[in-house]
Amino acid sequence: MPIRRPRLRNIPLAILALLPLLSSPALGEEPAQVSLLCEVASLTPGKPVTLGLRFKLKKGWHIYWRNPGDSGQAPSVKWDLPKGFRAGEILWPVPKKLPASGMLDYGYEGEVLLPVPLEVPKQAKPGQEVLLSAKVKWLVCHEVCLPGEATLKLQLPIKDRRMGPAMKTKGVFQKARDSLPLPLPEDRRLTAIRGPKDLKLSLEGAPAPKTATFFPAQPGLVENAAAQDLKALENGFELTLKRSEGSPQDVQTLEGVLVLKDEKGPSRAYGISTKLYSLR
Amino acid sequence: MKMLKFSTFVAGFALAVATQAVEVGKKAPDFTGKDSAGHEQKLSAYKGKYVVLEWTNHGCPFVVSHYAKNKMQKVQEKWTKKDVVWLRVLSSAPGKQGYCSPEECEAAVKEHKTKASATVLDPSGKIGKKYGAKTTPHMFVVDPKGNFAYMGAIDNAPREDGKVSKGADGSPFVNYVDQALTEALAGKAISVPSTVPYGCGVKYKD
Repeated sequence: MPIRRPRLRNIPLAILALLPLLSSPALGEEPAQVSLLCEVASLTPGKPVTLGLRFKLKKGWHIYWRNPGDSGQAPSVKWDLPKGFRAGEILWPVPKKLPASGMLDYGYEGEVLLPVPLEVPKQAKPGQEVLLSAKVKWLVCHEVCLPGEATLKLQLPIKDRRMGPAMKTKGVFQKARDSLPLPLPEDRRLTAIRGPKDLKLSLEGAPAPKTATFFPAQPGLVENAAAQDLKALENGFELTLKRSEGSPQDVQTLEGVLVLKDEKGPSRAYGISTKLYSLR
Repeated sequence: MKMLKFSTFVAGFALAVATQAVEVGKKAPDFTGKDSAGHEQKLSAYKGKYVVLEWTNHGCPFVVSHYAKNKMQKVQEKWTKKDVVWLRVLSSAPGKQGYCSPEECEAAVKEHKTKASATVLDPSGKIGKKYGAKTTPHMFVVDPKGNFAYMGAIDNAPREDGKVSKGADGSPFVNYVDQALTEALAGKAISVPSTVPYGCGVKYKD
């Protein structure tokens, strides 16, 4: 799999030279290594597959979730694909909270794979090879922020029958899949109500968890760094989210990821997109 | 332990106070600070004029791209010529990215050919926290009465890094500060008074 090193933008040296006490990394110590992977070793006409943008980050550095929070910027990708091939949106794994002096960002540290679904056309011809190309841009931060950009290419054969996942990528993609938020179970009832100062999210159908964290997908709606107040209900809970100053009063939907954790066991993350009702 | 708890409480309180007051149409908190040339800058001294506040950090790539392409300077020049006061505020703490001594800051101001009225040094982060400034650049426009007229991003092209003048989502490029001042000085209502700021986090003292 080809690995492209990030190329730093041409920050004029005159400006860099002026930065007193700038603790940026020495050149060559790249904080992010980015590569393009495919879950399987070959493509089959008409069968969708999952691609992945893998970020390997130096210790202490992070990239951002789709809503970066109070600062930062989500990675983005522009695809250059053969005719009939179509890449979907990035499927975002559950982010981490990244606090910094009273503010809160959302993102990833260590190693993260951002899965992207790929549609393979029925007309793809077995025996041929296709070249998939992704122009990826990202911002990687640790005290300081560095923009990165790379064009990643992946050549894959088209075969009548798909070859199984390569041993190396199997675990990486499985791990990524496990880190994606799930849809809410059918037996839960979710209600979201907007007030002038806060939003109340309630989930009924199961006892309250020990902790609940909501990651807002919409920038500028929820005050990121504010405490989220959890209140147990008879068979559920209510989570109060502080609205950002100046957030649109008539906002109609609430989107994000709700992470629940009990005393024991792993946390569960649910993707949420729900109508916001107003209290009268 | 007690000290730690106390300071956490104070910081939380300060932020809570800031977010209470900072809203379009509300009074912009007054502040006093030394600028890079050694002069004292006081917001309320500019009553009667429009004032732009620009949070900055010379090391932040978002700021760098705005200055390297001369984009920020052009907007600064356009409005300072029309009697608008443009104050850059530098809230990087000592040891953090973007911090500079007054001499270093003044050298940077000259090197960047900044067209702002002044660069206010805020190494303690007091002014930044008062305003709830989150990113560089984070922009505020204060009207002649001293009320917030605009707050948020500089423009709608966070991804373009100054390369292409087009909005991030394919919509036409808008510099929100330029648009707000154009509308306000023409006696019109500001069509976009508040946006979500983008950029690097302000490098406050931990």
